[in-house]
Amino acid sequence: MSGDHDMVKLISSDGHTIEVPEDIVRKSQTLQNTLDDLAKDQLENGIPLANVTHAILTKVVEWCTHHKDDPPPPEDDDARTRRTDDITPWDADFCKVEQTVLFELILAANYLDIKGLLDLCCKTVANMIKGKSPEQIRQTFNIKNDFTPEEEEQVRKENEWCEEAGSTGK
Amino acid sequence: MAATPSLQTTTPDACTSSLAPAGAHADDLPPELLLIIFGFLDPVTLNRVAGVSRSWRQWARDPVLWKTLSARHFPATRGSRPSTDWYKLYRGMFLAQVPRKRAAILRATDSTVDVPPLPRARPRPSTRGRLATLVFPRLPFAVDLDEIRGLASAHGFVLQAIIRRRRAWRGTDRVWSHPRPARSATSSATGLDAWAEVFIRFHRPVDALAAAAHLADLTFNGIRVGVACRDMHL
Repeated sequence: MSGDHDMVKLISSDGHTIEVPEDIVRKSQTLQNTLDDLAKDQLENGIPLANVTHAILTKVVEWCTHHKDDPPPPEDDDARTRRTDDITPWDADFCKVEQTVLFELILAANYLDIKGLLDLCCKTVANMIKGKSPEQIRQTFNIKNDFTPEEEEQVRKENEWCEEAGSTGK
Repeated sequence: MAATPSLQTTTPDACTSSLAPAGAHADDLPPELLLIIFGFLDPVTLNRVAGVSRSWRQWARDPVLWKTLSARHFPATRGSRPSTDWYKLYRGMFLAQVPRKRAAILRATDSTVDVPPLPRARPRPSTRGRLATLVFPRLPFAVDLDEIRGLASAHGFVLQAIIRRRRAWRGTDRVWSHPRPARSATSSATGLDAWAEVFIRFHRPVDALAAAAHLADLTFNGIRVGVACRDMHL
């Protein structure tokens, strides 16, 4: 492929245009399909991304650039690891952002279909959930408790089978 | 106790300050993305997640999550298509384990490392407790005994009937099999060589009856296995 030096224009939802090398853009399955479907002259004006802001797009490109030589992730869902303690230091650093940014990254990675980035961000959120009580989880993510006291008691009862023997307790 | 996660507080990121104030919130995630996140969680954490809010409870109980967990922790459930939901199946399988294995699963929930399979129990015919026997007249002989055990508890834990008496159940769930001459019709249909009769004994006939009621629809590779009670001394 001669496309190594080709630049692709991406237009974020807030109107900024950035130029990204084509091999980086192709980390996104969505954009890869777009590139394959459209003729060269149709790409002249850039690809508009309705759901991704400039700040998030910059982060996504940063991640894709760092991971441009990664092998493609396994297709098979079973083969995908369920571990969350295998995040590389660079990736961990990359995810040290505000929670809102993290969620926007998840939405963007999903929209652009970048599996590796999606998994990374989801793992990071999973790690933020682990080891917390329901109340602590609510505080962490600013989620409103919409249970009635009866429902809350019901959930607590439902969960007894797992908590009873658990060493971590409440 | 400060519950603030270190992740978003320790590093004020220069990049984020330029972000529009309308950032995403946990509630903005569509269910399919929540399910990806929850897919990285262990059973204990998933249960706590179910206590967060109504919508989180709904997704934390999603069958896909518990099917995956069942397959990882209890490989015997892989071939089964239980009529009960996967959350209940996982719970039943979990409670049917000896405390040693339960502890192993719970220990593993911290590191999310897969639990190694239990050493196989040596099946041996019991000379006692012939009060009630559940008979599977035709199970594929190729089925591993542990798999049958898993299938039986997966379908037959009948939470109300057995789990409440799981002490007794644990002590008496002897499972063994007898080879049976191959029947051409069945073996050609399944590609398996022979069928086995499988007996499960119970101390209490009521347990056998209850389990039989729930195992009536047990299928294996699409073929109805069938189940019968005998030696009932009510």
